[in-house]
Amino acid sequence: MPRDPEVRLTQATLRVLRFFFEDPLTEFSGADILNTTSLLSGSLYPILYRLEDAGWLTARWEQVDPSQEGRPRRRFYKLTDNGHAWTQAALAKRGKKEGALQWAF
Amino acid sequence: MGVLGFLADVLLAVFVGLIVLEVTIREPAWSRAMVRRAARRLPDPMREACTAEWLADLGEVTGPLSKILFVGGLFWGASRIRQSWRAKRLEELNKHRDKYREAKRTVLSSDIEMDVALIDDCSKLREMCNRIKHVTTFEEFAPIQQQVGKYLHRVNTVSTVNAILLTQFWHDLQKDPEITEKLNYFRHELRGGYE
Repeated sequence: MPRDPEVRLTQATLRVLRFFFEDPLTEFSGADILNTTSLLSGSLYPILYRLEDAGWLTARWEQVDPSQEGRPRRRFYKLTDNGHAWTQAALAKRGKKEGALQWAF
Repeated sequence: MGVLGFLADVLLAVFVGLIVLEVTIREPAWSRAMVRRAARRLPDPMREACTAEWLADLGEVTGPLSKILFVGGLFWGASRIRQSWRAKRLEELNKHRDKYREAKRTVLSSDIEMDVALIDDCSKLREMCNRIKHVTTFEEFAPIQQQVGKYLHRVNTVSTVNAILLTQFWHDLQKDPEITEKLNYFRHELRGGYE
């Protein structure tokens, strides 16, 4: 597994990653993620941009004809193989930290 | 004072009611317009794709208040995406600038002057090409390669540097008068040596 590219893992970023990690084979649109994670669009889209740019996520456009559907095409995201491994590591690391804090207090 | 206060409250309620009515009735039109307006804050190469993506996601958000929150967030999000994009671009440009300086230094350095017989200078030329290959598409050197092919076959590798930056680099390099003079000198000397 290549080394994970440096991405700032804020709470919001981890929420997004956890969301994908729970169902790694499914593709999700921005609206799906917004509805489930309750993040604001202003937080979500910059996170998706950074994660895709760094290779954690991959994205593709919905294969429909917008004129037939009467709506624009959606963009779907899912974890890459590396992204899955990096997410697993990041969440495990986070879990350890949280565990340590709980123990300390 | 009490009557005036009551009237002010009624006017305020009517005003707010009108705004809510306006927002609710004309919601699809204004929310789409606001998405496009937010997307204007994005860097040019991303604008069209993000607008389409956001409009599609907007269609799945229900309720005027949720749409207001969604669209309002996009203004903030677009600014943050632009900041990230600019930071990355700046990093790429800095790398590009360093390579440009290195290549220019290479081309202008005296140790690759073509002041001896070409056959003896091939190693110098190869060294120069080896350094420049990281930052150019090498197209400009194709005639040179053909002429001294057996010496240069190893340097004909595809650069992994971003193609747009390469094009820009070569464009900048060619506009540089010192470089142009040196390249013309090379071409002249090479042709003179082989033709």
